[in-house]
Amino acid sequence: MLLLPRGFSMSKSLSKRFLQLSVIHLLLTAACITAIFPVARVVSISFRNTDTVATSDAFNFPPRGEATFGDYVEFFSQAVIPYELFEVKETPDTTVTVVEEDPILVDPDDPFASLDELDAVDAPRKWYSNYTDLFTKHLFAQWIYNSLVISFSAAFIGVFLAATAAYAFARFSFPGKKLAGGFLFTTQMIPAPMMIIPVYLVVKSLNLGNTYAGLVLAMSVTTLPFSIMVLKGYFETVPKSLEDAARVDGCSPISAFFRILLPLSTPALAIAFLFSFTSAWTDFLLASTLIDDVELRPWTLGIMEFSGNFDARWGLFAAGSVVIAIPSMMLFLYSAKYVVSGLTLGGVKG
Amino acid sequence: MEITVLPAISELLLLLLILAGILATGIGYIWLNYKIWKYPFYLPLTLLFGISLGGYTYANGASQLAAAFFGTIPFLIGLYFKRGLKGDFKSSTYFLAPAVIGVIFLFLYPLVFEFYLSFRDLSLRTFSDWITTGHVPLADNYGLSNYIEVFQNRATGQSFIFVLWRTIMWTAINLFFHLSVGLVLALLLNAKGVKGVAIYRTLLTLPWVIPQVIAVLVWRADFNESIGFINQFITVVNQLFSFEWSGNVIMPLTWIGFEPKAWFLDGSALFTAACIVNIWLGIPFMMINFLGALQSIPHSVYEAASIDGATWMQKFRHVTVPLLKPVMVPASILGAIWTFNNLNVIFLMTDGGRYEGADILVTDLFKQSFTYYRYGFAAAYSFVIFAILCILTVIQFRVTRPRHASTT
Repeated sequence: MLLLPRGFSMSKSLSKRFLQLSVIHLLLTAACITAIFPVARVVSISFRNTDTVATSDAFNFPPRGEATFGDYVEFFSQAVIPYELFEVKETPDTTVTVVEEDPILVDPDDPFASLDELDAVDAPRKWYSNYTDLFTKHLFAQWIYNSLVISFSAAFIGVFLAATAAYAFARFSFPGKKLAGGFLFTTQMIPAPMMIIPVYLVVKSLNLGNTYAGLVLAMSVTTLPFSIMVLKGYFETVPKSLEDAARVDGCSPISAFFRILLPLSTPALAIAFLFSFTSAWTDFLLASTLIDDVELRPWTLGIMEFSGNFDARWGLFAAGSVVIAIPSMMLFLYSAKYVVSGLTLGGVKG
Repeated sequence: MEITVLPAISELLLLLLILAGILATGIGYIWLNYKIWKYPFYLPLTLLFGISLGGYTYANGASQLAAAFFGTIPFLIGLYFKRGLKGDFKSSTYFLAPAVIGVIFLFLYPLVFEFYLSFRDLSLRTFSDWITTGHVPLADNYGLSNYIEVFQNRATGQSFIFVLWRTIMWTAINLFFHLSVGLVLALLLNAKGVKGVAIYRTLLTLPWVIPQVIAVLVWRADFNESIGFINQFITVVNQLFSFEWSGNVIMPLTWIGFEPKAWFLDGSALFTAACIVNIWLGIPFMMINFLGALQSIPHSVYEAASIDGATWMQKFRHVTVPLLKPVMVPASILGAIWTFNNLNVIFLMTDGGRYEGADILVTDLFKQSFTYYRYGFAAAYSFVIFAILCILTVIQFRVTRPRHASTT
């Protein structure tokens, strides 16, 4: 609530100001609700034991005339609050007669076939079952591990390439410098699928399809222009006299770069690393074209598999999303500020 | 399930091996160049080196294009050393070498290869032939048939002009809402006396910091026509705002199209849904940008304006907008390019292109290459898209530059 000023009186300007402020807060709150809503949805779905996004199979809202205010409130709260957490379920009847079923034909290509069998002979589900299923019945831990390995190596290679190139751009003049800068700017305009087709074909023809090596190499150059721009801007702010002093003391240019400049520019390196890391961490396009094996998938492909059109498992999808989203959102929130400033900086400088 | 660690480690070792090989070759070649570039037979030697490298790649089953490319590159580098590097550029060359090698292998060569493919007939029919022998037949009409087909024969059954029009609509609608809503939110956050800006800002940036895959897929779940939240929400809200008029139930919101839809089966509804999702995703970026710019405007400027008797509207028009322009112009250009190239949202909303009716140029391109396997056609298509993008960027620069210069 708004705190009223100390000498508050219902004078005309003050009440107008109060009205203004409350309208602003109302609008901002509405915007916040819109922004949070899908996040709240995903959390609430993750605790539901059904494979659908709805609370019940049939949508039964009381018809016109019968619906009370409470019904409307219940409708909205059911969408975002996982009531399963609070309701005490009756213990299921343990003396269920086992029905003899016809043996289901197992499709050998279906990655979920063996897991479906596991599902059939299972203990009663708890409110956290979606989360435990992710790690016990699916390869989710493997997928996260894969993503970490891919993203870290892509970011390391990308930042290394960018740092050395940015140093050359910031400190030395060489013929063709302007041309190279313009080339870097135009690369940002190239549509992603335009590069994916030839990169896919080149990687396939080098026999690097379905390996991390091909994927990491292809990813490491995608963020190169951004990283070079950020690092170049930062290197230019570091005084050249520091390196000159080191050079006078008998340091080679290469060791001056690695020993003097790189330790001084950790903030910019961190931004470039974070940007490369997050773009590799959330990439699914390159991975979906290059990676075939279930064991080699990054988490994005795994999550897309859960949300597939015909056998969607929204409960698993939501649980996986929550597991991934919490650390990534914290990381992104921390880095958002810097990355935004870096992006517009690149745009201004052209 | 247990995590298998070993395959990843061995893959990484392979990667390191490849990288070390590439780096050693590149730096070794540059070192060699520096050692001998004053030698009179320098250029013939690099030419010979290039020819033998190209011949080696060709003998190993690569295409003629790859052979020509890798045969020419050493010669070009030699030429650059001979003509360009007259002074002391030694250290800059070494520092540039890793990035240049990466760009040549993973950017320039694929680009050249794509240009070559755009005149060739590489499709599912000729793909296995290409994998085994490296031979791709020339497309009809002296290789130009791919470019002709872009405008005529398209497997998706949607004309090029129509998809282009939809892409322009997609860019315009998204950019308009991103800029306007982002600006309004930034102005609200920057208003005098608003408490809790930090909390609001953190919550409002959520759509931008949540991984895009997750956000779009959650929206897709909620747009599901039978179990999703959106249709239920629309039904309930319509019921809330309905009234009876001479025995008929009237829902005024349905008059403006606010009614439950089969979001994925109806093409225009799917496009609307994709627009809604992308608008939701893109607003925070603009908001953060504008908020940063607004906070950097000193208060004294507004005070001076109010002393001169400027109204709220005049202050916005003559103080805020001109001072925001240096941020607004690059942000809108960047936003336009990103939205034009935004494959993720529509790709995920249409379930990898399974639902028709919302394709923009880039998703259509992806579909042509990875659903219909028309690689040659897609290569030509992508160059057409790139040309359009270049033209649009030039127009945008022309439109925004002079005004920007006149106001400041």
